[in-house]
Amino acid sequence: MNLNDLKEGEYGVITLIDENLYGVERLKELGFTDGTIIEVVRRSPFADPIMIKIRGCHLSIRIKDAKKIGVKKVEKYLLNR
Amino acid sequence: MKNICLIGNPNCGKTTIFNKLTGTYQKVGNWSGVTTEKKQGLYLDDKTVKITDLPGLYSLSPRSDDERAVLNYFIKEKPDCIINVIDGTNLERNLYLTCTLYKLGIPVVLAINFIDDLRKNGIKVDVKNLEKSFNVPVVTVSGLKGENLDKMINLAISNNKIIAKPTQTPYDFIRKNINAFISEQSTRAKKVTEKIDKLVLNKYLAIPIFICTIFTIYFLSIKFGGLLSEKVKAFFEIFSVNTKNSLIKINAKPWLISLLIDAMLGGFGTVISFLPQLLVLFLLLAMIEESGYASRIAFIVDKPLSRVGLSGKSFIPMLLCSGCTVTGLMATKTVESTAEKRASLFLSPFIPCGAKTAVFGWLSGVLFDGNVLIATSTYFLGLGCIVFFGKILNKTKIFSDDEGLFVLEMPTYRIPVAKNVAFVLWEKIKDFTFKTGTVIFAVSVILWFLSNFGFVGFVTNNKTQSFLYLIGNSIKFVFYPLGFSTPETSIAILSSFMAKEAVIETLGYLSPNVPSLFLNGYSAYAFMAFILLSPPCVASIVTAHKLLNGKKYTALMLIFQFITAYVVAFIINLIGIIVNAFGGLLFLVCFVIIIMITIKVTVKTLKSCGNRCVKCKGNQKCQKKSKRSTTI
Repeated sequence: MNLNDLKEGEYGVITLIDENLYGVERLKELGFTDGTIIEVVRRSPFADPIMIKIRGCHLSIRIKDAKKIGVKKVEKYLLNR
Repeated sequence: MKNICLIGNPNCGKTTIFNKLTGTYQKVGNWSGVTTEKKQGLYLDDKTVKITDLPGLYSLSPRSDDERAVLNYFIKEKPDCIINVIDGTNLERNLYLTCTLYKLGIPVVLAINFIDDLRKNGIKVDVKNLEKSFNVPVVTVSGLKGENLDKMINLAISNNKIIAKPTQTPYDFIRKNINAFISEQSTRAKKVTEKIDKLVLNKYLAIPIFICTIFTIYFLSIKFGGLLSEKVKAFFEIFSVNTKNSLIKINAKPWLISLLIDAMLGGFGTVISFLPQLLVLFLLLAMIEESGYASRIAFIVDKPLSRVGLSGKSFIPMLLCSGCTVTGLMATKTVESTAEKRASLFLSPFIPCGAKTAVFGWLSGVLFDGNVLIATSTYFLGLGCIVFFGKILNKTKIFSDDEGLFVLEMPTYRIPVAKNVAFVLWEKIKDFTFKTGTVIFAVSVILWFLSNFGFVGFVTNNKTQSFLYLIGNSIKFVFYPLGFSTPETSIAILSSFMAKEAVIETLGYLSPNVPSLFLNGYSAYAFMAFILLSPPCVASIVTAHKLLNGKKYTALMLIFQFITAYVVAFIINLIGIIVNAFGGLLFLVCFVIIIMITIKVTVKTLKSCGNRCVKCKGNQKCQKKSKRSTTI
């Protein structure tokens, strides 16, 4: 499952980032590291890009990049503990 | 002299702190060999302390131009101390950069910014714990209120502690300790931001709200700002008429009067008359940028624009180009990706600006019996060329995105601070007046010389003797394939580089019978297309040059725009020749073929993005289907 497969309002945990993605280092600097919780906040009215929340920050990335970020879906209630 | 620099993530409040520290003593310095602007200034309370504001960055790895510039700064200037400004409301992300600062081996002071915000929300920052973990002095500050800034500088002057080298990866370290550093990360402003976003980025409301905002900007800066510009222009005209009369009274030489009035006052007037429009525009843009809505606009329109190699951030520049290309190009400053910025600078002038619209209105009146459709069609011609040539540019190396990655930060909404807006406004206006203005002024003097002097000296009424006419006469053959090759049209094209509206004056002044200059209606339309697509006026070229960073790209831009104009005008003229030679029948056949190709391409484009965004708006099944179809 990749980041682009998450629906609006769903949460995931980053499992794998495609090392071939150009700019993967930049994503890591922004906090896209294995095990990080990520929330898909919404899609743009034209469906691309998507707005996500990671480490307390809102960012938007394009679908083509989101496809290269592997995630595992997590239910929200499990996150709040 | 102590040398202190501010670094931090983009949007962490560095510049506000810098402005508070240096007050009016700041100056903008373009450093040699680097592409990005950095600011340097002297500390208000102690003039022996030099403070540098570096561009915002996420890490020290030199990937973008900005980051390379920062690294160069560290190598060349060797600052005595770094103040790492940290957005306290985004502590987790901001501390990543901090963790990597040990590599520089330069003493660091941490400044946790927005402490007033945090305090209001009852959030506590554990300064002691941060100091212990990073082994450097930590101070909580508020750039906006100026709180603790003197303490921060004093710490920086005396500090010689370097960031402790972390034993684990930065984010693991931060994650483990974040709860010890700060009591909570979610502020009220963030919650409000989420609520506002729910409204302004709502699936159904986002586009209407966006259109309303755009309309307001467009209306105010182009109509209202334009009105102010007209007033200034009118004032200048009265002023120059009065000066001219008094010069005639004292029996000044005609060429001297012409130089003073037409060239110098005229050139000065052109520069000044841009200012009110720019002022209104920059004010609105600064407000939209400061508030955080600009990122949302980019978020909304990114998809359609990315198809032609532009990004969401190129939208505002293109919109503004319909008023004045200079203002539009100035707005590309906000486009971060170098490739997309270049594409915006190359393509935006295809949108007819106010002056071009006036020319087309006049030409369609003289040549096409005032057919409104002809003038309006230029907008669509311009847009079509942006889409078509944008796609072509996107295929070339220098326009395929160098980052390949589009990450857009969606900042917390903030109410624009009047002082900040005013400061940005002043900077930009000053920049325009001194950098761009001087060149516009110089060029208008040169063009004045060429159009008023010839081998016979000062040309009073016989314009055919001027250098400009001679040049026009010698280059007219270039335009032969386009269907207009008279000295008059060549001069009109040359003078259009000074200001597009000069076409009206030139043609009207030089030729009593304008339609006779063209072969037929098609070549007249080809002329309009050429004026539309050829390189913009000098003011715009100069503005683009300042933003392109390199003569090579400016030259490339001019060549690209010239070729585009030439090719499009040639095709239009060719259609005219075909229609005239073989009659309407063949044209009809061609037309049907073109329509069919267009439909095919449109269907293909829709299909490629269709599965996701047109048919079912992000349905999961559809994406899988599209994936499967691409693998087969």
